[in-house]
Amino acid sequence: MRLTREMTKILALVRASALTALSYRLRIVFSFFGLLVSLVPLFLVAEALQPTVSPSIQDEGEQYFGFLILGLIATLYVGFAIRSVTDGIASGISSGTLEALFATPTSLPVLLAGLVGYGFVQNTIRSALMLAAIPIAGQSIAWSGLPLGVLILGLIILCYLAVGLMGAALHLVFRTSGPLIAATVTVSTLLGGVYYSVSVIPEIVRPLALVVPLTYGLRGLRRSVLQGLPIEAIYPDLMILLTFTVVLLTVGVTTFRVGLKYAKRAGTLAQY
Amino acid sequence: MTPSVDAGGLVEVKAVSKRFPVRRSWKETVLHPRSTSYQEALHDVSISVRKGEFFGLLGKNGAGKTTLFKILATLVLPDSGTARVDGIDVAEDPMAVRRRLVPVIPYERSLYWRLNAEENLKLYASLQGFSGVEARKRVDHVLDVVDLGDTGTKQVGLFSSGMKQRLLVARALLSDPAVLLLDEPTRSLDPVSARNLRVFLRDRINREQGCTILLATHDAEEVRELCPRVGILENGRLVVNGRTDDLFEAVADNRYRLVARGRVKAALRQLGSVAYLEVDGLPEARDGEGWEHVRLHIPGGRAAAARFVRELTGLGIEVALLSPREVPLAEFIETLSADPIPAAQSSSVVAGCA
Repeated sequence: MRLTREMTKILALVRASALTALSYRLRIVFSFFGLLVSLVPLFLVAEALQPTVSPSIQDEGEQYFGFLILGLIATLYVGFAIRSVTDGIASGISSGTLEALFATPTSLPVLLAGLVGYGFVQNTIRSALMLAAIPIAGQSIAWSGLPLGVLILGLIILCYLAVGLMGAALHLVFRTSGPLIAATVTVSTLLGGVYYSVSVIPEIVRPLALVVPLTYGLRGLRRSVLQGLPIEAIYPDLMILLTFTVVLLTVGVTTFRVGLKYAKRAGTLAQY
Repeated sequence: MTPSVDAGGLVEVKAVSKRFPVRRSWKETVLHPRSTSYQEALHDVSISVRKGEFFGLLGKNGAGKTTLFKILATLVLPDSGTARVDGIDVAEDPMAVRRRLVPVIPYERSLYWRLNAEENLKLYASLQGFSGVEARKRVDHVLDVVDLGDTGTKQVGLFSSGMKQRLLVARALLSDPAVLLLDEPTRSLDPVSARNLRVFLRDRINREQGCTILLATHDAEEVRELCPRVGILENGRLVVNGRTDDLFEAVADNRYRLVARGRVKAALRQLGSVAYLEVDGLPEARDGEGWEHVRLHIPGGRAAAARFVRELTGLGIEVALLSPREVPLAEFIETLSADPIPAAQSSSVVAGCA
């Protein structure tokens, strides 16, 4: 009963965000049109680079277009996870909606889930369209590996959501997340294996890739979705990703609670 | 925690203090990086508001009214002291407090402008825990209550400022709260809408539904019409807390406005010489029909005023009106803030009654 009530609250917030976004019709149309158009040059570039990159992505799907699409999908969710809470709080503070929302008998996790829910739905639609481009381009997807892929993607999202919570805490206290979010996104994109395999990264910086959760998440994602490998084959990557998730979530949630308490003490919860 | 309405006020604020860090200049930050400056927003404030009461909170800008409201609404934590709603500490169980107390967030931007009024209210009905038919019913009801029933499907961005203000009030009423916090609810309304909202708040929400209301306002008419009791905050301190009529009477200080016709000037001189009458100024205006308007000070309360009218008419003066002088709110606040104790003594006012 309580769960149903909380879900209703989350859905109500998602609905409000969706209705607001959908009221900007041209923006929605351009957004999806832009995505579809960008897939064409992406495919052509991937095809041109296929012979060059093929040796380095042998154990991550072999096909560069599929490799790139999964990398971009993961980046999409990383960006969403890391920015959505901070963006939701920042826009809520500047518009004044946050104070009104906080004054309702709604728990913080429910409010946050509701505030970021629409972004998640939007990204999922975009990701589904991007994923559909792989078979359309004549390359193969291991559909049986999709559930495992979704699980890995879920862990990636939780992992980066934790960093997002730390950023949101900084925003609540200092009105800026500092370099945390930009640095995490940049390092994860460049060293996490989004556009190329981690194996081609120069040896001097490669150790840094070992502390990037996306490295393990993406490798597992590609092996399950593009190669259809079973869970046993990606178990090490999965375990490392899970450890990252648990540790970062603990730190992220704690930091956020401390930040929120500070904001309530300092009276800055609703001041920009 | 067990609610204890009968044990005291429904809203109990005891010795609450709050200070906020102040932004410092670059130079100061560099020279003294570890020090922090604070501004005191509330100092040792105690207020008790009974169940069903309509309590007014007055004060200049920055006096601490909004901070007190934010503490009660669980949006800001007090540094010291306690604030309880229905016996529940706002810092210990904010969720339970939010089920009983709803602030009218006065910012129009806190509405979703791209949605219509119904969609805005549906969202908040859900967040208050209502769904389906119940939510629908409550949305329709509050829209009717604030006279927005026929504009429910209109986009909020196209609303006038007054309509948005009414929608903000409607949003707060969705859950039939036990306590309503109103921060200048009529500031963007035209006089007729403002009066309608005041009547609605007093008759329907306060008297019929028994909702306890705390009102922060800068409108004298609003205070006199709605709030039998008021508190005045000055620089974060509660300087006065007492019955509104007594306070206004104390500030008016036996000053009256007289409208009379005849040899008014001479009569006033004659009566002034018997030493109970002080005339602020001799007839200050005369209208087309010969009625003269005079401001007077008649110490001795209503008995002295009655005696004055008797003697004036005895001197052949026609008296059309003798009424207590209207006290502007600014003067009311300034007088009581500057010198609360004499005013309080003259009108049985209790300062900091909690």
